[in-house]
Amino acid sequence: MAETILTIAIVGAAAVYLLRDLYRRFRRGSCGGCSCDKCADEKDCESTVYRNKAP
Amino acid sequence: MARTFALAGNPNSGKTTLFNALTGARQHVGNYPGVTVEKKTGVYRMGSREFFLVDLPGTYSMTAYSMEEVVARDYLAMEKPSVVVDIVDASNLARNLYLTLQIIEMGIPVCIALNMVDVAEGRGIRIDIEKLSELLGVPVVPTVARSGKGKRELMDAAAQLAEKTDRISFPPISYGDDIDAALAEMEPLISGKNLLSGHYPARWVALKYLEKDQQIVSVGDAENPELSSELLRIVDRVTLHLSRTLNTDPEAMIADHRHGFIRSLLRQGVLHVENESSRLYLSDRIDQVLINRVAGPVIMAAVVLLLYHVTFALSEIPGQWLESGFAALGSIADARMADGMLKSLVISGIIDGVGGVLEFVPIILFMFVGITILEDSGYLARVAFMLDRVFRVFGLHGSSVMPFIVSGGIAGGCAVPGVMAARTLKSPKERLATLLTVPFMNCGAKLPVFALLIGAFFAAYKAWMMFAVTIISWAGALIVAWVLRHTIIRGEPMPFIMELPPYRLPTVRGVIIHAGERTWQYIRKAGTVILAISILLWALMSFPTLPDHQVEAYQQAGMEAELARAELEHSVAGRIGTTLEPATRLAGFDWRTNIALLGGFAAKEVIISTLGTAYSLGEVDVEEAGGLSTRLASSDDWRPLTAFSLIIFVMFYSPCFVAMVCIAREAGSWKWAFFSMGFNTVLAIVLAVMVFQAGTLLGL
Repeated sequence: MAETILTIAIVGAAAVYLLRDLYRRFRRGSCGGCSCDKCADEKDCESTVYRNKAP
Repeated sequence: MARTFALAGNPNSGKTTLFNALTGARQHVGNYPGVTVEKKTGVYRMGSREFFLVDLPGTYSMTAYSMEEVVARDYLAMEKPSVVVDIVDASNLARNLYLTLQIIEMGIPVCIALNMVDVAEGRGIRIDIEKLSELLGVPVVPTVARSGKGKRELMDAAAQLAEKTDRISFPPISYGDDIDAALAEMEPLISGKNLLSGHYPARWVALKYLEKDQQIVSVGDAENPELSSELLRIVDRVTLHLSRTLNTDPEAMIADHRHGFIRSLLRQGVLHVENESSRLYLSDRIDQVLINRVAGPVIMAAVVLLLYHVTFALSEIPGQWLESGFAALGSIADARMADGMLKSLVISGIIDGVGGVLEFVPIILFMFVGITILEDSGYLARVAFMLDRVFRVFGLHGSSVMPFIVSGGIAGGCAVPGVMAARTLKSPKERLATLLTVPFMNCGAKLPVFALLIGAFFAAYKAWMMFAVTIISWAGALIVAWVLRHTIIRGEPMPFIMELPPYRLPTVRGVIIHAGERTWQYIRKAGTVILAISILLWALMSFPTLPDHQVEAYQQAGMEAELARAELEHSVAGRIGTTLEPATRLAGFDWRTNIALLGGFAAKEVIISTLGTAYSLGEVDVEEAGGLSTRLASSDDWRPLTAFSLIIFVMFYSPCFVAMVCIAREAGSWKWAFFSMGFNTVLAIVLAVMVFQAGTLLGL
């Protein structure tokens, strides 16, 4: 029983994490970047780690 | 009211001679209060019209290093002449254009007097005047000041420019990502508070802050100390970053990019020099070989191939350590945990799922080290320069090259910054074509998928295979771009100038920081989003369970392997995968691959984690199963042709969810994001089916 509850809790936590991630991208406008989930502010976006992104 | 034309130019460019030729005996010399440097004023008559001419001190730049520069700059900013007539010495074009660029950046209409064209011709220098005018977006008139040749045409052009209201705006020069990001941050602050806005454009003020121009900073301090401090904080941050990563400072970086811009501009067919090799700089000499029309592409291919060889060679052993480590972790969990749901989640969902993704960290790390070295040395800009010629043929803009490279043109990038980098394209149609084709590049998430399949089925020639994959992705992207530009995104191309920064020796610290940042992103993503998706997909691959009587029947018959497979097929994900199988079988994909590819819509790394979980759930003995690569290689459902077909599909199918969000935002409509998803997926399945069927017919 405990094992089942723990498994459901882990799966539930994963689902909540992904929903939160989706919420950030849609509601807060974060692009998500390669792995960035910081905020909607592009200047802090980790994806801009790529320098020389354009001439 | 008579219009005022200011004459600016380098010392010894023939400026005073031209001024005298234009004004004759009517000139007079006047001192301006507060400065000791002379400015001459005069009048030029054209028919019944009169123009005031102001001869500014000769300067090499618009910084505030000398009094001449301060006088010239202050005059242009405060007095706002109708037109600046920039006298450019045709025999020293590159040096003279440095000042031209800075005047253009001040937002004042510029008319170039290309002076001493006779001297230039005598030295074997030929200048394509129309091209120069087109690329700079300003009128250019050839003159010989000593004889007065061209002076009337020059004044005509200046007068026309002064009357013009729809002047072509010069696209802002990019100063590299670090400086550009700072400019993007500073410009709105400056324009929002109108700092010095009465005299200078906000971008120009931001540039002067970055160059730590004492005169501008002092005026800014006096006008708005709070904002000035904030701007200086940004400048300090960029200065520290550049110092740590490239061992340089913003001022040098800005100067480098201006020189690079000029060199590239001259290479666009503007300047032809005969017998001038002794004047070339070191970077130019290197470029003579590296971007040579014949040798350049061969060297580029060799560099990319070498990068792949080195990456695969160096990552092989650490990759095996990680694979063994995760296998050992699975064995420990298998031995210590009681059979049941939780054990299955930990081994198949987490260890085999996320572990499969993390096993590729060494490849990602070494690939990024290589790419960072190429990027920091300035070679990546040369790659973009060479590819620019190819891009134009396919209807893309030269500015599209860097978004392609950022998205994984050499492998290991990301479509999200690539899509965002497409912002630099001015033409909406070229921009859209770029947005829709950059996801075909081999991003850092596709790289481990390719590495897995290449490692399992083409181990003898990994680097060559990776090179072929790169060529196929570029060819596919360019062909699709051509089709789009000739069908739904038609439009005229825009002129383009590519910057070539000078070569630099990458610093060890810079390479460590940049490659480390990118590798950490990969690890973090594996530990967060990929982990969460793996857990959910494990649940989808585990539930609903088989009815008890069926499980008992399998167990009584001693068919453990068949039971594991039946349980997986019975799950939600298994049923979806099986439903799709009749169609995907044509491309060689079984139902387990289908599940992985569905997961890949979220993020491409999920393909590996899902295959890891699917093949782990189907295995009976964890210890004997080996890594995913071994499992695939030994599976009856897989052969090299299947792997190649899957590589083609993964290369071209829908961008990941994050990239789609980004495309929707950049294109201003979800329509294009869904177009990208649908079009790319249909294209991918068609190509994969063609590859698989053709290969099967050939007996592969």
